[in-house]
Amino acid sequence: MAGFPYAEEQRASINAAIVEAGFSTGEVWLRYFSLSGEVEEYEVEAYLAGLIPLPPLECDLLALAVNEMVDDLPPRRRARFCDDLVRAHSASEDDTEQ
Amino acid sequence: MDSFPLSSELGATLGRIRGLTLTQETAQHAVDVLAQVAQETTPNAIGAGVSLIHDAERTSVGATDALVRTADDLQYSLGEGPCLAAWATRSPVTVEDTASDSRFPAWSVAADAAGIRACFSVPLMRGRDAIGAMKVYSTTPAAFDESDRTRLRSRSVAASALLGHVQTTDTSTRISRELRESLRSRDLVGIAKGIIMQREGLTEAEALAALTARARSTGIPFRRLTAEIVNGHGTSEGSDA
Repeated sequence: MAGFPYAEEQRASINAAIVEAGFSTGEVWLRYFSLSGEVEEYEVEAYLAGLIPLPPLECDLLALAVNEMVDDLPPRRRARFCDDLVRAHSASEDDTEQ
Repeated sequence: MDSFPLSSELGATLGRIRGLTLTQETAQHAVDVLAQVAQETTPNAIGAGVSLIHDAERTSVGATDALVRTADDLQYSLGEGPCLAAWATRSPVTVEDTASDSRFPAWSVAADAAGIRACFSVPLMRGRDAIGAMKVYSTTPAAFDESDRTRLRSRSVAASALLGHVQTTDTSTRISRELRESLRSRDLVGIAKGIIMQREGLTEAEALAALTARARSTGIPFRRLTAEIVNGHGTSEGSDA
């Protein structure tokens, strides 16, 4: 399974994304499994801990699972621009005039 | 792919992931057994009961006899009593004598009329949440001494640990739904892989790599992408190149 030179960097990035989002290994594994992941939860946990390598395709599926879970998280609140507010208020005034 | 696990194994796996002990035992069976344990622990009790409480509603109740059941039912119909108080305050409640205790007036009068004189109830805690109450009753006032109370409190810790992990109808429904969704999603990926393999002359691994690459470049969730391919709406590799 050796050969991919940046395997450790990928593992660290997957693990960091999981830790930062606060996902459990179980929920990540379930998503990975539903994306046709072949490796068991126990081995995924060992991989994330840096104990065993996984084939590159499985690593990519795991990354895809984690990224989709991150995308599913509720977005953070965004700030509004001046013209957003002007437009929003003029639209509501138009509504009341009609 | 032929090493696909049996769905019962998957159910157990998912249950473990969710921190639940999945057995054939229902919550009802567990509270019945624990009520028995509470009574055997407390020789001075004429009966014992265990209730699981959620949002001040009793979801399961185990009782060693009809009198206990009556005393327990009264609490929920009257909306007051030592077990509800133990659950709500998360601390043990002792009623030495229903004939003189004034904290739960309606319940005390009704329990006294039914023959119950003393009650000791401990909350069942899971972390900081109260999940129910364990209680012993007696027809004799002041029937429970400090050693009875200490024993029941220590039993309640074990009971809480068990009940906190027991399967309820709710969790088994949720798990089987998650399991079905996950298997359906996995199935779609398998079919989509087959379509890509056939269409583009790829191996299984190449097809999967092509699918993940497409999901990344388009930003379409993998499940939707594979569902679209399976339903015939997916574009072939040639058209998005």
